[in-house]
Amino acid sequence: MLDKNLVAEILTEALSTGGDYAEIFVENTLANNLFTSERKIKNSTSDLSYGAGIRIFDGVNFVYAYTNLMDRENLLKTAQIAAKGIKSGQKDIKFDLRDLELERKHRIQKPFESKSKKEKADLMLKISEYALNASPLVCKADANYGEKTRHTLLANSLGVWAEDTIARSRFFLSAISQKDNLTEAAGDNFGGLYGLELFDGRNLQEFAENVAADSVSRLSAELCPSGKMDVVIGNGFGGVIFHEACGHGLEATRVALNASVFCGKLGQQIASPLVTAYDDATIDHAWGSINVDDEGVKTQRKLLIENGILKSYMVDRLNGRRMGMEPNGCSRRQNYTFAPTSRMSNTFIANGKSTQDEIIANTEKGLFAEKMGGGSVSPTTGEFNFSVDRAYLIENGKITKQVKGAKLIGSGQEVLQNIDMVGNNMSLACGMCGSISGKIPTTVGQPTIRVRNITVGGQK
Amino acid sequence: MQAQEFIEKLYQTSQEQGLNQFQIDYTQSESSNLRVMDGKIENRSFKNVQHLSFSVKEGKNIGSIESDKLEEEDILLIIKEAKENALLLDNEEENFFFGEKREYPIVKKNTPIKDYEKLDKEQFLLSLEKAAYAKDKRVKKVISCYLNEGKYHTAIRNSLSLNVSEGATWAFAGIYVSVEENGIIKTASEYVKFDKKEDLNPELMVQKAVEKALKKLNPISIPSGKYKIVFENECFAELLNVMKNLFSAAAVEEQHSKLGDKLGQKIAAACVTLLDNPLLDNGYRTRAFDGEGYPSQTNVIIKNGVLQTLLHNLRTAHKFGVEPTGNGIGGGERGVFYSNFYIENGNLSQDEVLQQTGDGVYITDLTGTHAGYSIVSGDFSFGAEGFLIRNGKIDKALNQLTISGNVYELLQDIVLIGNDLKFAPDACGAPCVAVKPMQISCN
Repeated sequence: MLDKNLVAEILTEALSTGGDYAEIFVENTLANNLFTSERKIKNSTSDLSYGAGIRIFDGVNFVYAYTNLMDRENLLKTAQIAAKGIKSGQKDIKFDLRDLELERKHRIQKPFESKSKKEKADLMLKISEYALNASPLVCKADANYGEKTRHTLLANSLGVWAEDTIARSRFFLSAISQKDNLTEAAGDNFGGLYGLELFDGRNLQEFAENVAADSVSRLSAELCPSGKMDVVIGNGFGGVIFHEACGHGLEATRVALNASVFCGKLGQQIASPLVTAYDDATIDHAWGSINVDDEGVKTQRKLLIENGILKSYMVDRLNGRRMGMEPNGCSRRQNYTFAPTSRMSNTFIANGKSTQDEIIANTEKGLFAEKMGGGSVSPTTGEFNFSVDRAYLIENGKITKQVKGAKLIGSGQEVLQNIDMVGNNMSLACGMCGSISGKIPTTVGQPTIRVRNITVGGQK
Repeated sequence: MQAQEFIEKLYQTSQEQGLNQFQIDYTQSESSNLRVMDGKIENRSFKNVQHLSFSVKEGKNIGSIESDKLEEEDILLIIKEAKENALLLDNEEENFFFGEKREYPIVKKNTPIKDYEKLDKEQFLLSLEKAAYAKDKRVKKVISCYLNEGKYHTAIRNSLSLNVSEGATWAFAGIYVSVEENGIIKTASEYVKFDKKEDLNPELMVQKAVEKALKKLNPISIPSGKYKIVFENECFAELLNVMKNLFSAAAVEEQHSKLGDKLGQKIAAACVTLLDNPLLDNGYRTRAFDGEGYPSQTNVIIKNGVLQTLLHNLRTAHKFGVEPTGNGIGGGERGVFYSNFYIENGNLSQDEVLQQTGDGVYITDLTGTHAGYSIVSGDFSFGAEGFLIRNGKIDKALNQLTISGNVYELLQDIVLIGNDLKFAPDACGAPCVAVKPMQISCN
């Protein structure tokens, strides 16, 4: 994207006032989104982005400057302006930019431009139609499709030159059902590092009918009872609780500032011995995967927790300096307008030995939170509240009836310790994670797990 | 490639490609931000960015592409994407570009005073933070102490021969402090925009922020119930910000406002005059034209309590059969937006408003305004901070409050309007306002 000699000049300029590390991140992105509703194409947007961010460290202080005026003169000027923020006397830093060898996984088969927007929208309308036809109670089906190709270059004064291209796509469907005065909505999505093959090998009719059935079944769900009970949390998106209540606490962004409940706990038992968890940015075609992180470190499969013992944090370069640790390939940002920091990729609890049927059969009385919804976590206390999108009561080891309006309340540390059964059906689910370096694609995941004694807030 | 050259090339290529109607919106902005913490510059950031929206009209629809990449090699891609987006859409109502020859008003924008150029910004912030800690021993933490300055330039050019541009510069600084006494922590903030000499004095800003916070200490509780309310000027401006969408024709279309059939009717107390005025001297959003290139004009929305007009862009004006009001958003968004949106001054000083109110509650801050408002019904319930009003004077601070009501009723229930009009940085402004009793609960 930029000439190597120019990049070297920019980095040299950035270091001219005493910075001990400088990097430039260049990004070139094309994104398209389509939205269909009421059997019509309601919106179609395109976004072309090209810009650069320059970051300089002086110990643990840093300066960040970004621009999208990408001519030589302005890029050098941006480096100069950034360098003015540092005044510690020039150090003699020499570097030679060398290509970082990357295993470029996640290659796509069907480029986005191999079909027109009209063809894509027609497919969306067809999938929506499956949902509309699934039941007379379904009154609305909305579909969203987004695709993005991101070329990046990261070069730094350690001599790293890392270029990469990642294509991502995702499809959403939501259905609204009505009966008497009740309205219920449900939705589902799939996505990953795919071209248009995203839609191949899937039974799209079954997918749409499941979304429709989900919204219809909620019409006859009863109000959820309140109280403390054993909760079986379903696989896939159920991992959102682990992501929010534990994953964020293992990011150096929080750990370095002593703002996490997991500070200083390496080697300690922080979870039930049944829990082993990873952050793995290397999974083929997974939504949260990357080849190299946004500060030029190769990504890894990181063991976070092994048999309940905390094994590692997710560490970026700047916070690594604060913590005396090496960066481990997890520094990410939404785009060039954000400085990067440690973030999750594909974060999940690994498979255990039980089947889901065994877990439910072993639960005398409780709640099966099959599909989790959104929630929030207080970063300082670790306390969370999450809504459950689809839930059932478990009575005498059997699923009896669907309930709605359930909320799960508790703290991350407590839940980790109280996991007493872990299933063998691990799956991943797509999400967008927001934090100080912007919104990035991440996946959450887990097998079905059982947690003893969670407070369930219901409306009854 | 330089922006001017790129725009020229894009324009020419669009013509060569036989595009019927098209428009280029371009913005360039630069800014820098300084933050101080614990006697040190904690963080600096700089930006210099440009952004372009290219829109094409095909049939009734306008399709767009957003781009911050202005490279010759992408011109054909930009044209193709925008055109394809326009051709795809199934919307039934017509969208428009503006192209009539019109006079554009000359406006006076808010700019920092000359002395600001000589200011040592780092020193200013460092002394601001230091002054706050020195001001009172109850100051617990300077949570935030920052300065931001910048400039932007925006231009719109289309195939109907519209070609307009304007720009502005800005600078502002702010401080956010917490104070603590007897285990109770209260916060307050203050900001300046360097448009008058006294803004260069950090002591003055600190004094205001710290005094504001200290006054809130040692709060008392009152029984829940209905109280006569006086809203502080900036606080009522915040309420206006919550309810401003009621006056948008686009909100009427989406059934987010009940004012669609109320033109010519009394929707507020007779003392209320409400304006959207992009021509206001030194306003935060003073501008010569709107996002669609339509010339700015002063819109009196409510006069003596009677609804005079809704706010329109080109599309809604055509649909409603009225003239546009110059409130369009351009680019790919094409919605309705506001400029300087405010209630006009009344005749009474703040002291007189308080005196005539006698006993009640004085509200200075609102919280949770995003979550506690129903756009369908206009009902609201917000967290609030405030003081007791006793015998026409501000008395003791009150514990955490909630205030509930309905925006349509609130407009009718205004009884007194002060003469201390003040704008918040979001360009909503109001004098202090007294209203009939409202439901208050106190912690």
